[in-house]
Amino acid sequence: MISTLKGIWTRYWGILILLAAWQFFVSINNINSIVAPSPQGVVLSLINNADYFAGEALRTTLTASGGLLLGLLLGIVIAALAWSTPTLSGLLMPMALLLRSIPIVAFVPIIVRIAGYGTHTVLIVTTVLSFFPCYVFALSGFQEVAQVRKDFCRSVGCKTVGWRFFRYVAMPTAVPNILTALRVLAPTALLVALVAEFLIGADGLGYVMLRARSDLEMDKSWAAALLASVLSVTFFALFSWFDKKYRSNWQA
Amino acid sequence: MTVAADLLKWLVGISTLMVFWEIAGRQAWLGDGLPPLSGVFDYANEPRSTELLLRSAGITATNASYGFVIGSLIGTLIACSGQIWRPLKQGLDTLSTFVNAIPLIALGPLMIVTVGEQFTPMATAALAVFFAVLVATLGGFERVPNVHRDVTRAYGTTHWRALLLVQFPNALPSLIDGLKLGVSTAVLGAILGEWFGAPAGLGVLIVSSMQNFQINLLWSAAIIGTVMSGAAYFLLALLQARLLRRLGL
Repeated sequence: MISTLKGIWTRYWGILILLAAWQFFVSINNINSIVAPSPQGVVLSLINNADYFAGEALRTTLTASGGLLLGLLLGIVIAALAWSTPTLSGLLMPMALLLRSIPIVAFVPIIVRIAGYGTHTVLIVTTVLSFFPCYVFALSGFQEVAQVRKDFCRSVGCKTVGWRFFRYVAMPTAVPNILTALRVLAPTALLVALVAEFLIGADGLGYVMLRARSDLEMDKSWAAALLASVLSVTFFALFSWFDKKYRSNWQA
Repeated sequence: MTVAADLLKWLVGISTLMVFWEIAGRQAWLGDGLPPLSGVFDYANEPRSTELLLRSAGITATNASYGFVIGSLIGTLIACSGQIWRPLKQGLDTLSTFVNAIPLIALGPLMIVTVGEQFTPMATAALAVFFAVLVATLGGFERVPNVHRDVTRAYGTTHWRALLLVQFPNALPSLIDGLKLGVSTAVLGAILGEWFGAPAGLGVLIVSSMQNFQINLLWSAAIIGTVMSGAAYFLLALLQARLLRRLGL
């Protein structure tokens, strides 16, 4: 019993201290729940509105993962095209690198302006912003084929360009990279979906945070924020697990 | 030679993008949302808008740089504390995984209560940088060769000296990588933080111009934000190259 408690403490002390600090901050300053809710208040709000939060969380999860998968697919297809035509990859590379340093939040409003207000825009935003990193990861994966394998292909009379080489050599080589892209981008996709919902006012956790705050329902706003964080951590953990599980099947 | 080739590739890539953008804007392929690039530049060049843009960019840059300094200091210190006092380490790893996955926007409601609307941009920027630097530094400590650690222990070196002479220098490249990532996230965090009721800044400009259909202003603000974080990234990359050469890595 004591050893399990100790195990939990050594592993999770950071999070426990954060929770304690939160509770302490609220009770020492005697803060009204309209300003900052206490941990119990937030948890209670989550439990009391479980159906409502589950619906909103599901919506955000679906748009975020849908956008991520669409962006991934698009990234892989374009990367495959760029792999077969070096001119295209030369043209796209500066853009992809440029996009890496772009503050993504600055571009969400622009995409909203172009695509309009609505849930479909959340999906488009997540797709567009997942696309470039996926493209970079996939392309570098396609290009990483070991010289030995190329030599082998040549010796058995298979060309090192074209569909067959791509299908049987380059694509399997890129799988670990694509798994990494998924793992790294999962929290980002969720963040982008939340930001878009927040700005557009489309249904989902991002909007709940905004609306509940303007209705002075702070416990609800914080509950949405907490739920979003938990969701994001789960996303990350899920894709890390997926990555770990399947990486070894593909690694050279 | 390769540098020149790379530069050429970049120039061609970027000018293609600009030309394409101009055509797409002129033909209104994406409707009103994508104005021609020349229109955006003309707009930004008007004295009134230039003044507004520069003032906002200055505020955001200040928020981002304060956030960058504070966040990277705290991130490095906390990562180091796990090296000095071992029992902290495991919990730190869990904490860093968790906080790294927390969406920054979820911290907005928390920040306006704890530090106030005025300082929220700085705080979100600091948090974003803190995450990036903490994760990178912890990763750097992971990569310290076990042999080095064994040597310091065999000679009975104190944790402090070992940190200073062995672990920290080994983690430095990774730390700088974290700083490089962090500098873009600082700008991102500052802009995002300004959405939560800050009085002025690029983030305020971006949201209000989105809501008021000021497309040219929206694009100019977004471009300035991008140039800002790109320039900061470039500066740190230069610093990194010099430092790594100096360290012989």
